[in-house]
Amino acid sequence: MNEKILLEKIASKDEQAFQFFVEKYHQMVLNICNNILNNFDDAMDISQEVFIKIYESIESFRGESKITTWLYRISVNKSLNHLRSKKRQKWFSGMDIIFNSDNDKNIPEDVSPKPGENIEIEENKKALHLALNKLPKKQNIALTLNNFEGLTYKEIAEIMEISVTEVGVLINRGKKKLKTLLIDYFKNN
Amino acid sequence: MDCKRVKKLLPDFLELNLTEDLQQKVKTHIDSCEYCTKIYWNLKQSLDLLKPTAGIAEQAFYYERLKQKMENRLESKNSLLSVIFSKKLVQPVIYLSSIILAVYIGILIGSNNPSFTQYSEIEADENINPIETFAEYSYLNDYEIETIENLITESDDDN
Repeated sequence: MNEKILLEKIASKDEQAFQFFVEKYHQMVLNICNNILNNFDDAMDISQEVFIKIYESIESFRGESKITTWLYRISVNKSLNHLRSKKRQKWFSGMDIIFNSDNDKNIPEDVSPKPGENIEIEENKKALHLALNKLPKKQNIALTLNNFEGLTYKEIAEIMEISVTEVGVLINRGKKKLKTLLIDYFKNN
Repeated sequence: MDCKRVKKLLPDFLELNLTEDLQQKVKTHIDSCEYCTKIYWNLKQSLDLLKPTAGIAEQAFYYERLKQKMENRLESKNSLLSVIFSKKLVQPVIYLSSIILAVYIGILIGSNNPSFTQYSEIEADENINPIETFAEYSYLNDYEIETIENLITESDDDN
């Protein structure tokens, strides 16, 4: 189905068109969210938020960029907002005791390798994601989109709404800092 | 070459950005130092993970779950009470009201508001002379308080 017609149908709240759209793109959205959040449950939740946002505001899509660029942009923004709200939640975590709810959310995530998995690879994966999360947000996003998603500088520039040169600078600086952070991690562990 | 210098040169060593001589020196050190070898291999393996991965496979029933979520949200939107009493709203309201209350009590205490002194032993009575009240509470007797007229007369006499 032509993308323009598909989007028009979604705008007119055609459920079948929306289902087709979700089934076509959910894997891509889920992956980008997971690469930024590094947590499957959160990625699942946020990817659904992305599709809800699209369903509610499809009219605002002007068609100037590719639909995938728009999807990437919303996914990145939603994931970053989620990370921010997670940080805020830490501030308000004391209030949860009063409300006596969702206490189990405060239990630290089990990052220990699962049985049968290569312990060393898992440890390196953990180190990589910790280091990525310590990078400035823009460097993290540029590196994630370039390395995990395999997007070109031009595509990243469109998603992040910055110039191609800026993307290059972000990626170079990010890689340099990432290496230093990784060395520090392995030195201390 | 010591470990500290190797650690500094390691990122460029990986990218082959060092001079031939330095590259060789770092390599020699890594080969002979167990500690630096471990860091080098861990760093190399971590950076190797920076590539497009197979990612998450297509999810069965994704659309059904999404649809369910959208319907649940619509239901909760329609229920005004659930919005009012949702934690998202109640929590900041409680925080805000306690801050406002604390500030208000502080202002009341600070401004010595009559409402706080109404039960004190000094009654708010317009007929009470403030000077007499001051004398009473300062353990002075009436003779120790001189009127302004007396003071003026005394100073005239002195002249």
